[in-house]
Amino acid sequence: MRLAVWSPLPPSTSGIADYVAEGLPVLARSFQVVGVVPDPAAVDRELASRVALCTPAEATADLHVYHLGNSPPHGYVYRAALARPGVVFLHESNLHHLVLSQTVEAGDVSAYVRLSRQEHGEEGGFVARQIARGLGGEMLPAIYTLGETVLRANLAMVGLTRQVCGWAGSVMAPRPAYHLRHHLWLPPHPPSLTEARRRLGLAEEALLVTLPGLATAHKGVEVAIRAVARLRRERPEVQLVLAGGEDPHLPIDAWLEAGGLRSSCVRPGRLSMEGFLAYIAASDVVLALRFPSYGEMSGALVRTLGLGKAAIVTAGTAGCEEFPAGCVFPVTPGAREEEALLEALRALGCGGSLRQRMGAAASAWVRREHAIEACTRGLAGFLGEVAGRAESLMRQVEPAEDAFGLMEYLVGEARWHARDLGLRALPLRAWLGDLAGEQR
Amino acid sequence: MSDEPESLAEEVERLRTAAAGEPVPARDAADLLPSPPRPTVSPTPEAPVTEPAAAVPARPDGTAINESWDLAAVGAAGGLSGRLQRWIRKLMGPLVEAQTGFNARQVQFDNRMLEYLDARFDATHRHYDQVLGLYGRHLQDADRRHVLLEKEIVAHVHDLVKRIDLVLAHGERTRVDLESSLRMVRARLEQMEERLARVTSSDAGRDG
Repeated sequence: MRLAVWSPLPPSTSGIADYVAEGLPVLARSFQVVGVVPDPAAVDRELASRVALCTPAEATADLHVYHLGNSPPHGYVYRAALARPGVVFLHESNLHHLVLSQTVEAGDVSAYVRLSRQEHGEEGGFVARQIARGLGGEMLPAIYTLGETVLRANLAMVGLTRQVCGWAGSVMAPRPAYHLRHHLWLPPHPPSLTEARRRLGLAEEALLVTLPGLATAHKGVEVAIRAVARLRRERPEVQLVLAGGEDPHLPIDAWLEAGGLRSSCVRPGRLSMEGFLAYIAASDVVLALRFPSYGEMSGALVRTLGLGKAAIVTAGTAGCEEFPAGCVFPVTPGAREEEALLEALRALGCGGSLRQRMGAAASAWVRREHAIEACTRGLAGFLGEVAGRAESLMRQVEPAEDAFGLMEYLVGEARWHARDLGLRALPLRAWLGDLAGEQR
Repeated sequence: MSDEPESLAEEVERLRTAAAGEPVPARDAADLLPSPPRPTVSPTPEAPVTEPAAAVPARPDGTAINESWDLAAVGAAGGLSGRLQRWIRKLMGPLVEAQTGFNARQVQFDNRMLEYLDARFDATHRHYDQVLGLYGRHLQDADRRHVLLEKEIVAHVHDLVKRIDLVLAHGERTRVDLESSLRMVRARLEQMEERLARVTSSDAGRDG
């Protein structure tokens, strides 16, 4: 079976690119896989030598898999997923920023407002207009999620967390939704803590608290800096590491200055995978905070746990709920977040064995349950099943309203009014068929 | 599952909930709200580009009329025709003088008329310039006040957006926190029920 996997691939800035690149060669053992990217020549050479690549215009397959994340590099995948039903591999339950990039930022505000209205009724239309004017702040796009339309237009979905699958599954029902654990990929011989610190020039006696990956507002950088600064007043050996690039819009320098961490914070900038893993290996405690969270699973967190490191996560997020209790340390995202984080750091930074025991438990779980071979086997089985049922699933597909003609426009308009009245799953196409036919 | 992961989970949960009883420290609003944004406003409108003034027609030249009004200055030719001209001029003397006097007054009138028109146009232009200047200054003042108002409104709206965002974030954080706590409580309750069931069944076995 020929499988077209639509996703940005390294060196793309999307974190999903690394995830897909790790899984493609394994998936290629079960299928004839082709990676669909805007520019095959730009893909990492080592990966390109192992996986067939093509452009969107050349993509032909028995089944298309669309990796969707909430960032503009997935724009071509989103457009393809609306136009040709396949399997949506949803990495988070909110595609609001992706949709914004494909509508408002492309000059089509009305398509964005219509989409938001279809998914959230009249309130969604009002909110969309505020967001399109730049008055939505950070929270409105987080609360008014977008993504139902692309799910309805496809055959099945795969998600990496129960939160994503639970929501997406209810939107697509009775079409199948598959919960796939985020696979663990590590080099055969990752460096030990001592080796990594020596290689990176970090003090052996330091208590390293690492915030991995691109430092963004969603990753609790500010609260992490404040909590670490307070801990450092008690424990001068504490050192904060920002292991990755930094969002230039964040006033990280000012936060570090205010916390007295300007000179002690380690900031290597954007890292290669090897460098990134070295910083994780060198850490004592890794922070995987998220707010707001869209049910996404952090690849950095899975690697952290795989390396046997103690991780602090935000309670209520997928990073907390995908692992058994005791494998990660949850902290409240509420008003007590800073105090809770400080307490967690104190507990994990003290001389007791909690840090080591948590790391060992997490590592054992992740290496067993998130092994890349087993995860990919499960995915391959699901994709094979979907391909076998494609004909019957195709009958349940609801084409995206904003992509086609009058019929879809009428259905879209009627759907959001019906939704405001609490009416769902109405046979709108049957009812509106004559009207659309008369108007043609 | 062995006892070890269970005790580890309990230890983490105990440590997690230990901080829950601590009061939330008060924070200054300035710590939460970001500094006001630098508003983006439309640029001050530029003065309209005016067409260059059309060429003003030349003032009528009065030289010729000022030089030719005096009929007495017209000299007579020599010879027979000159004598004849002088005789006729003598004969027509009163008429020529009357015509010369009229010419002089007409020329003076024309000169005064031109001076009057020059002065009248100058006065009208000065008046119009004064009116347009006042009106222009008024418009500039209005534009300046509009720009200031626009800046104020933009800053105010963005400030409102941030405040709304802060409240929404606080509510959303609390919701996520409470839902998470509820799920944990449910999980612990299920564990306790399972243990209770095990204890009950083992007790029943012993009694039996």
